[in-house]
Amino acid sequence: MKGAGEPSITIEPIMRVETRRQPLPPRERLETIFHVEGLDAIYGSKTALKGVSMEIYKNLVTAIIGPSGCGKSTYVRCFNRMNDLIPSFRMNGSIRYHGQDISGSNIDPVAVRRNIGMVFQRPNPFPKSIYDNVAWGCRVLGMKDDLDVRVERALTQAALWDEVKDRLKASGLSLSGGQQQRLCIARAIAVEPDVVLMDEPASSLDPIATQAIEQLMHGLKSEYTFVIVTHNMQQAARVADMTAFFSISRGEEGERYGELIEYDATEKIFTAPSDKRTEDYVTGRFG
Amino acid sequence: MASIDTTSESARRPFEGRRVHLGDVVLQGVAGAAAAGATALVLLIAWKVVDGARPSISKFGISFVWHDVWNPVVGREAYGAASFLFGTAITSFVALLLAAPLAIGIALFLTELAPRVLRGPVTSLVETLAAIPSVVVGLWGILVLGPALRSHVEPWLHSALGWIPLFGPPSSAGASIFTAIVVLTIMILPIVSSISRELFLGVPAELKEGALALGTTRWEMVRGVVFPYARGGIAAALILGLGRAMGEAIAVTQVIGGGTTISWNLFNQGDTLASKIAAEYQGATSNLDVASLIYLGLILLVLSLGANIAAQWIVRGVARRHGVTRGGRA
Amino acid sequence: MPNLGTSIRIVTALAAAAALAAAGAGAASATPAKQLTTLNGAGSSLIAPALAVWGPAYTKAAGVEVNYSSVGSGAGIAAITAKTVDFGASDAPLTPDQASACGDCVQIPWALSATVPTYNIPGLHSGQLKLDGPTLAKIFLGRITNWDDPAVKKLNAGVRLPNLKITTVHRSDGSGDTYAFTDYLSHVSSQWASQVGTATSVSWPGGVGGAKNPGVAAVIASTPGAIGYISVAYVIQNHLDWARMKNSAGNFVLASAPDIEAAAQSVKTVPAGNKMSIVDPPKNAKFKNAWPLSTFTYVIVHTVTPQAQALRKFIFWALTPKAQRLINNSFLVFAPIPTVVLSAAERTLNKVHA
Ligand SMILES: Nc1ncnc2c1ncn2[C@@H]1O[C@H](COP(=O)(O)OP(=O)(O)O)[C@@H](O)[C@H]1O
Ligand SMILES: [Mg+2]
Repeated sequence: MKGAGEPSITIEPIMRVETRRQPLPPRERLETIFHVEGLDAIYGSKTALKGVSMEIYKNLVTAIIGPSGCGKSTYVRCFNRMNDLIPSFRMNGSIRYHGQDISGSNIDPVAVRRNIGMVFQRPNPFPKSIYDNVAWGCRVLGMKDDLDVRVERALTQAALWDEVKDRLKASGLSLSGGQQQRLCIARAIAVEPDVVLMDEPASSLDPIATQAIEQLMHGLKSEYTFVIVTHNMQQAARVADMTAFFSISRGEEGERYGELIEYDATEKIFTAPSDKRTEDYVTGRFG
Repeated sequence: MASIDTTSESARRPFEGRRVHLGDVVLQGVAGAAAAGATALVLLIAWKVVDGARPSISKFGISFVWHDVWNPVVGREAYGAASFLFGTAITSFVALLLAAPLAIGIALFLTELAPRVLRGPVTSLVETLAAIPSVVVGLWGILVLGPALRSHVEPWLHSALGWIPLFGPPSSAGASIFTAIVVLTIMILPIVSSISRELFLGVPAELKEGALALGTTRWEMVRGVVFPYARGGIAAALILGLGRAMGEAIAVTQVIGGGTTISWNLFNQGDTLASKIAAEYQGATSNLDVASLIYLGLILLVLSLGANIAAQWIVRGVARRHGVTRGGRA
Repeated sequence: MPNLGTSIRIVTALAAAAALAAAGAGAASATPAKQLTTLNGAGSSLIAPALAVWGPAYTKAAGVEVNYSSVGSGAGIAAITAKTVDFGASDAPLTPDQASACGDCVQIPWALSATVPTYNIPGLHSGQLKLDGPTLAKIFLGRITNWDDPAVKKLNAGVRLPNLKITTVHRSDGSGDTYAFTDYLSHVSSQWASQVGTATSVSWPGGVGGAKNPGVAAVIASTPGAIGYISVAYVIQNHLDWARMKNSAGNFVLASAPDIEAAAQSVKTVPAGNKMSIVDPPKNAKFKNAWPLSTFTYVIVHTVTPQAQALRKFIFWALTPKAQRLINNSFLVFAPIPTVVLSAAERTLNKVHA
């Protein structure tokens, strides 16, 4: 996830960032899906995130932006308890999902992940056929009825059906990178999650594949809630309704930790940020 | 000066003229020689074995393979491989059958399930098992394991599963085909489990995360992703284990009890190709005896080569089915 | 790229060169140029305890070092055939094929020992079980299968024999003990002679095989009702129980050195190849206590050998009464060689030259 080095961002003037977003509904009409409060994320003795509090709204696309190493991946992996796989990891604070705290040790991460799916930075299709890549999760989770219909629907929603419908038996690994990532999206939505987390889903894809994925997110917004990590600010501007900017701060003893700087409607973040650090970042003065 | 001319010439056209890189040439030469040498060595060994077995081949022909007789007494010599072939087949297959689930289970436990603090110690423990010389395993087999199996396990198996011919009346001595099977199981366990462990470790973390992110349990993830990914390699590891079991001589000689009759009862004594060769080669009393023992070796060689080719074939086949050669650690 | 044929020839040549080098090294180590001469030997494990005594004693007496590896009779024959040692030792005489492979080898009887039936019958201590040849043969032929068989009972009046299945145990590797044992059974049982025969390794009618003496001992120890055969020295050193055997004089004897020596008295003349069988010696007043499973054990040398002089001296020395006495005690049980055999041995030894 790290180490490749953040590509230098040459952002175009803010005004020219095209936006396909509809205007946000008024705040009171938005339904909170995640309520994060005072979240610290700690790897062993290293604090990766400190004191994050924010609400994520249902059926919106929420973008997480910020410099490399500010804890974006760590943050989204808190929502589906993916960090549980790292032995040294622990977190403080709370994440309420539909009102229920899912951050405690009494919570079954498997159950959480059934509701909250994830798409990773690098496409990771299973070494199975295209069909089985999508069908496997359904089978394992007991959604065995109308499997063919489910597979077709998921592939269609992921804008991949037309390209693969004649070769469903071919290996998932035989697809191109962009197709593989859409297959992973199909796989994630085939099991009917509530939320789909995406950790830089387009970072290894070419512009055309990136566009395809952005478009499909638009199409699926009414059914799912998306949280997308990106370091591509144009992408955030294009797809996200809300944007959270994270940055790296220094503690008293010089230790570095990630912090939420500003969270607002995407429009606002990119045109009139209230924090100087956000402005520096979105205008490209901060690399 | 000519040399200056050449320099400027090559400076102007820097990519022209294929230069000879000494390192490449040496590497090519060494690698080529090693490959040719290895091939030649295999052929040489095969030829030597065939040559050594020739007196027996010309006397008994191919029927040696299925004749069940072994009598080295001068004047009434008669040799055939059937009982040893049978012994090799039954010991190595049953040992593999026992070792496979155990080894894969251990590997799985060590890579996916065990608490991290246990992984290191248990791994080295299992790997130490592979380091025990086979003669020591054999000694333990005849002094401790065999009598224990004879007194406790065999009677129990016989009373529970006696209707299966394999579990006939228990042996009177600790040395039996069954003891050999258990010893072989112990000997191939670390090989298969450490290869499987490597294979499981080689399964990309992204794949496992991808499966877990769907809301599957660890076991479902293992079944759905880890096993299929490692399947080809595990099949190859099992065949390697089979080859090891077929070829193991010293430990088997010590515990199998010797015997030249074919019996389906695992609790009877028997012999394998390798154990027969190990037991008698040094003391072979006639030229035909020596040649017949080498003939047994030839059969064993053919079997091992067959197993190896099968392993390679499986690995390639699985790689093809996956569409991409990926994670080819096997 | 050279063609395959050439490569094979090259590799063959290399292998041959390596083999020659190894052989050269072996020969070099067998003929050191130091002031202290060294003799290297290998073979029989039965004679190994004797050589462990002879070696240091001879170094003291003659300033010659004697190294011996106890690798088994068969391996000893292989080693002397390949000339990787100066002498081999075997408990069984060379077979015709072995003799011809060895070329100018001669075998010289140089010690006298025995193999004994060893058993594991709960409640029966060493020497309490009595057997005779025909009964032993029937047991190993699988015709007597229980210790309370009438034939066994008849020999053991007054001993309580258990109702216990008999398990016969034999050597799974080729062995001089097997030779002596099967030679004996062939003498006392015509069925054994016709069905199984005499050799260092035979096609056993049944029973369990153990690898070498320790293997046989281990199987017997862990198997109630087991009976096998093991060299007497090994049996004594490991405190195993062994049976009294009825000899042709009708006496039950216990394989003490005098009993073994008595068996060797049956030798009247020594045949040209020195191959002698002293099992089941005929009834004779002079050796009425003869142990019927006695055997000579042989040293094998090439007639033409660079170490001829040192070898001759060492073997002569080993045959002297003094050296023979060194290995005749309550631990080793090698009986002295009879005079007629001694002179045959010395005649053969005189043929050895450089
Ligand atoms: N498995 C881990 N163990 C220890 N530290 C980690 C681990 N993963 C991430 N970190 C640390 O947490 C911080 C945030 O990392 P990450 O969430 O990957 O940032 P981002 O995705 O924004 O680039 C970094 O300093 C990183 O070194
Ligand atoms: Mg990241």
